[in-house]
Amino acid sequence: MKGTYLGELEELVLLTVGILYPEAYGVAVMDEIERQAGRSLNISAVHSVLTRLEEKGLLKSKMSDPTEERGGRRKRIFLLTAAGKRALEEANELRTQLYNQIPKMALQFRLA
Amino acid sequence: MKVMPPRWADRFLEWYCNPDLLEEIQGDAYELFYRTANENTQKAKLSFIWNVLRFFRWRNIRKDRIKNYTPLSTMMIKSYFVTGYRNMLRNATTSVINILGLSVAIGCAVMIFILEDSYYNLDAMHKNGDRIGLIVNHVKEGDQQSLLARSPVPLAELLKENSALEHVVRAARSSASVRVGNNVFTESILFADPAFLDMFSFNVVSGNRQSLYNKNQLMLTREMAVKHFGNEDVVGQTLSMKFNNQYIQELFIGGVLENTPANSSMYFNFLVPSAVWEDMNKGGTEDWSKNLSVTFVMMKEGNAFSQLQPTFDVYQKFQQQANTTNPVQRVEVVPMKDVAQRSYEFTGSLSWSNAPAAMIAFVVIGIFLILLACFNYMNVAVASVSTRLKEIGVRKVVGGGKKEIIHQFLVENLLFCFIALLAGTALAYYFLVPGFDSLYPVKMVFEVSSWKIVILFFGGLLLFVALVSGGYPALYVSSFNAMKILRGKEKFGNKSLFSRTLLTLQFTLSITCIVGCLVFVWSSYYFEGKDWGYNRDETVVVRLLDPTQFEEMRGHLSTNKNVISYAGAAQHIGKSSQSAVIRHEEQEYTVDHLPVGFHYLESMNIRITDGRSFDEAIESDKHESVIVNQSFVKKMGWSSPINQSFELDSTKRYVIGVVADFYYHDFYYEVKPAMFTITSKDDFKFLVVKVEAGSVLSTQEELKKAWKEVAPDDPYFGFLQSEVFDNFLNSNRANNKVIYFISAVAVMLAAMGLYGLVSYNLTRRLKEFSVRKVFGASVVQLFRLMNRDYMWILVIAFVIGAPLGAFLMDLMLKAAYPEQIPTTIWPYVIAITLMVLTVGMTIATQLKRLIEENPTETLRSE
Repeated sequence: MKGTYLGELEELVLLTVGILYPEAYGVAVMDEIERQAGRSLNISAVHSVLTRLEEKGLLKSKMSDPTEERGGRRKRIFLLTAAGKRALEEANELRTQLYNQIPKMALQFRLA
Repeated sequence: MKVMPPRWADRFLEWYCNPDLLEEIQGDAYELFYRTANENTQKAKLSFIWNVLRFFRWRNIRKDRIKNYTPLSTMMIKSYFVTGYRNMLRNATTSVINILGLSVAIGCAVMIFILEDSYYNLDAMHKNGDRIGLIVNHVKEGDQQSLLARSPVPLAELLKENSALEHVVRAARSSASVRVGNNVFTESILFADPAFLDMFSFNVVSGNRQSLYNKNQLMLTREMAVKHFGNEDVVGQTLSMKFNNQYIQELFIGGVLENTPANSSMYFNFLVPSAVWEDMNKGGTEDWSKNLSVTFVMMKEGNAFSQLQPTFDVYQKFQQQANTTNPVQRVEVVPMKDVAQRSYEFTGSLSWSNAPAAMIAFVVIGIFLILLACFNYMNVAVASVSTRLKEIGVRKVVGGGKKEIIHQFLVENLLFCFIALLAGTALAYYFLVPGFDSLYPVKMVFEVSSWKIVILFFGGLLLFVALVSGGYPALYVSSFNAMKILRGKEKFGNKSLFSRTLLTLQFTLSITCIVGCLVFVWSSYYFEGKDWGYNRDETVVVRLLDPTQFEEMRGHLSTNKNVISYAGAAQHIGKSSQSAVIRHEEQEYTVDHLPVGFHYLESMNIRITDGRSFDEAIESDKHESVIVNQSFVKKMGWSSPINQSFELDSTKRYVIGVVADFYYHDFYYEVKPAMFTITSKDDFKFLVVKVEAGSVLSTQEELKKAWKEVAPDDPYFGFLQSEVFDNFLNSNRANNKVIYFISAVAVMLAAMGLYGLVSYNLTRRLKEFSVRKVFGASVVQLFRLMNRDYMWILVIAFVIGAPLGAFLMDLMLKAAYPEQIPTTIWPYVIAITLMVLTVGMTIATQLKRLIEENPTETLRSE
């Protein structure tokens, strides 16, 4: 199913939301990705990924208390859902499984 | 000061962003902004703008307009209709008032629409209409130019040489005495070239369409067939026609035409081949100097009227040689579709249509009435809201937004307007159009040119009325606060200033209208009772078609004991006059001239104020005596007019008497200097008979009998002198009826608007009045209280409206009549009485409600 496929950026955002628990919201996610992966994203791009993940049911959200720095506006805090956790595990598993199947030979680099 | 993100970008975000997402998006944008704002404001602002622009994505844009209400409001439409219907039944009085007011206005609008539609589609039924044109001559007359629809007779022959033409048709209107057996009627006839029916698409019911090609055949309409023969099956029958110059001819009926349709600007009963005319006027066919016949051309397919110009150049040369005093300066071909509308510009046109000014006036009246009715509806609708406050409150609480309430009221209003439209159309069909048709000589039929325009008109009218009348109430009602309504705290009525302004406007318009109408009615009563300058009651007149008939009739008169005196006349007061140029002390004057026989003044009861009347015994009276009217004396500035002299046709004339001014035309014409002279019997066209009082009708019968013997081929053309201005007076009477109707509508509409406002204010102040009642206020006091506001409105409306109406009508009367009509106070008195009565009665009906109301009921329910 097309909906269950997890894109690279989506996976990255999903992981970041997990890392930032329980304070994952748009700007925080954007900052974290920049810090950890060195990728500079526009806030609107982060937003659209977050909403997409929520629509896929991998994230859920709730509104936080109002904060001063946002002009008294609330944040939308994103949390992983069970489906989100499973999706991460599956992706991780698939990656490890595939990685492990790479012949040793292929990974041995020598100065020749 | 705290740094803020750019205002416009923020607003833009708020505007486009889905409200559900706005908070987080705006929050993130702000957070990013403040993070850098303290270090670099400019950069922060730019990045804020950039972010706002980047957030502008399909996902974030608000879509509620499309998404939310469409299914909901279509679902509700049925409910709106049901509620509207129930409300209509519940407030039956208000509903009836609304619908009645609107339907009267719509009825008038429909009638005016039909009038306009027929006006703009005159002659549209001719299949070749776009190729037909009327030749109009721009002729020099003195220092003026006039447009003559008639051309010289030989022009047609000349035009036939032009190869761009398919047909040329001449036509001339005339009249003839038509005799079938012993019955004689005078009919208006049309001499026409044979191709007339090839050019114009008039329907032939039976017989041969080509009949006019035979010079002893004619065609007549169905109506005429029935009139003269009693049935329509008349092809092949004969009738005899006696034309103007006494020429009599037997003619066969070659075909029967459908009655002239109402959308034809040309009207005729008989079509007679123009060959008959040529036989009658030998030599007249070659005369370039006189413009006698209307000439139509029909171009061959694909040819333009401008191709006729070379022929016109030749024609102008001929014409200018033959007629040096009135040369044709330009020839114009007027396309058939413009002929009717422009016919008022032309002299001698066969076509007829209403004056354009009248057509514009009608449109204005129509719009005026519709607007009045819409104002009314607004007033009444706003007033009736009081009974529906709870409903609106509940609707809002269960989720109806402002939009839904507006929709509901507009849909309801549409229902009302639709009913009014049906009622109004019925009113126009059964009452207004036939009424108009019977009042005026204009033929008016409930017909339209095409369905497309009908749908456009009715659809447009419905939408216009529904939106104009329903827009304000819907907006007003929808803006109420649900909480306040349900808590009973909505102070409804704060906006009554609007209603009051509307009402004042409405009253002003009504009073303008009423005063104007009354001034007009007054003027027509003034003319109705006006002295004509002579006693008209005991005089019978017979028109002579041949001067010899005078002598023969005379024999019959001398034996009649009721006859007091009689006289012949060449021109007759009230029917005709000629103008003459006289010379007095080296100066020329144009005066009206009435050549008459002896005893004419006595037979007409004209009052002699100075000198004597004509005397048969005095020989000089036949040649050089003249009697003038007082205007004549005034114009000459004579102090003693008797024996003054002037020259007429280079003969010296002496004044022997002066008569009081008399009206020899109707009142549209000024009384000008006029004179009587004696003329010979060979010129007599009228026989004037003065009879004993009370024997007018019996004498007229005897005259008719005598006429049958004297002139069996000619119809009897007699009339009573008292009838000569009937045309004028009848059209005045017809105008009066229309004006009464318009006034009645104006009063009615004003009363309805008032009713709405009074009941609205009464509802608002019911508690106040109840408290007053409890404390012992009398009915009179309450009445005065209620009236106070409206009296002011009435006073303002009267102060503005009355002079305006009088001024406008005065302007119109001045344009129509030369004479200053004495002003009276009556129109104002009647108008104000009428309005005060209307207001009083309207308020009284509401007062009844107040009196019957039990104060405890009102006050308990707090």
